[in-house]
Amino acid sequence: MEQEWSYLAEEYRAMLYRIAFSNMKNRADAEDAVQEAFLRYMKDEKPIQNKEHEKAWLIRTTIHICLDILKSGWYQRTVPWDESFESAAKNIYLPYQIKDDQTLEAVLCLPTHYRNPIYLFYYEDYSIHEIAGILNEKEGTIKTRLRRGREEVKKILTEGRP
Amino acid sequence: MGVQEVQSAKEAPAYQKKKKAGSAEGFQESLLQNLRSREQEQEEAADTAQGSNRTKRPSETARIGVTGGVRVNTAMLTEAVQTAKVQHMRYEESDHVEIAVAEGYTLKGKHMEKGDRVYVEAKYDDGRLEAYQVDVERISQDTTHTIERFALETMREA
Repeated sequence: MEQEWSYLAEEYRAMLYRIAFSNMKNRADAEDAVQEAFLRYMKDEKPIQNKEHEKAWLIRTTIHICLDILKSGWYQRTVPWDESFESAAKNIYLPYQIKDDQTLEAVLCLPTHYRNPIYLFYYEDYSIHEIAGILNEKEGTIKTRLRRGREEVKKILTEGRP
Repeated sequence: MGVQEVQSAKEAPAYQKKKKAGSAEGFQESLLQNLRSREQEQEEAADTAQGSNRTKRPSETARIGVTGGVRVNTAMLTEAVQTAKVQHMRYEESDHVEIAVAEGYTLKGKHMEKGDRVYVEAKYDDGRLEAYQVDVERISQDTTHTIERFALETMREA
């Protein structure tokens, strides 16, 4: 059990944290979501076919957990204690340098159905085929969301946050 | 995987999308379009086969060429920028990364071991994945060409 936990943490924690953070926009909630995803993974009795399947399962579960938290009445009535949205892009800890935080901030402002495909495509470098598998959508749907999401990002960058 | 995407992203030629014409006129028009399209494809294949001798077209119009089943945007090619085999490089392996969400692409660059060459991988939000090998010595320092500029930045970062 402990061995499995340390393997999962080492392999996926940072990436899942970033994906959770892009949805939750604060560190504590993102860490909670990742932990919950790991717990569900260890309790899950479905056979995992391979590493790609394992990764896709964890990403999908993390996103679902985030969406469940965001929808909950408790979450909607409360605000994070110590972090403002302004610092979101700085707290995401990407493993490479990006030129401007503004675009990432704009991506984080997008509605969920655009934000997740855009974040996974641009910032985690997944292909359209992989994102379609992770989000259980058709490749055509992902392409459309990438295109429309991009238009939304442009709008946010020129007109400001919605 | 990316290559598969590129292949599947191939657009059917316009003439194939056209509904079957019921009249003889429609058929003739369709046939002519078909012929024109084939001529264009042959021309593109011949262009691509010339490989490194290619220079940028004066019109700089974006054209799609075919190299070993992978579609490449030939408007990106210059004397310094040539197509390369896609290596599926990860962000962590790159010396330099550019994420252009508003423009719909990402670029990854890595300084190659031999000489002043940079490997650049471009991913577009329509599913295309392209790779270039850039000879930095042939680039003007004030270039405005996207791939050339990025290659120079990669050299500085490496």
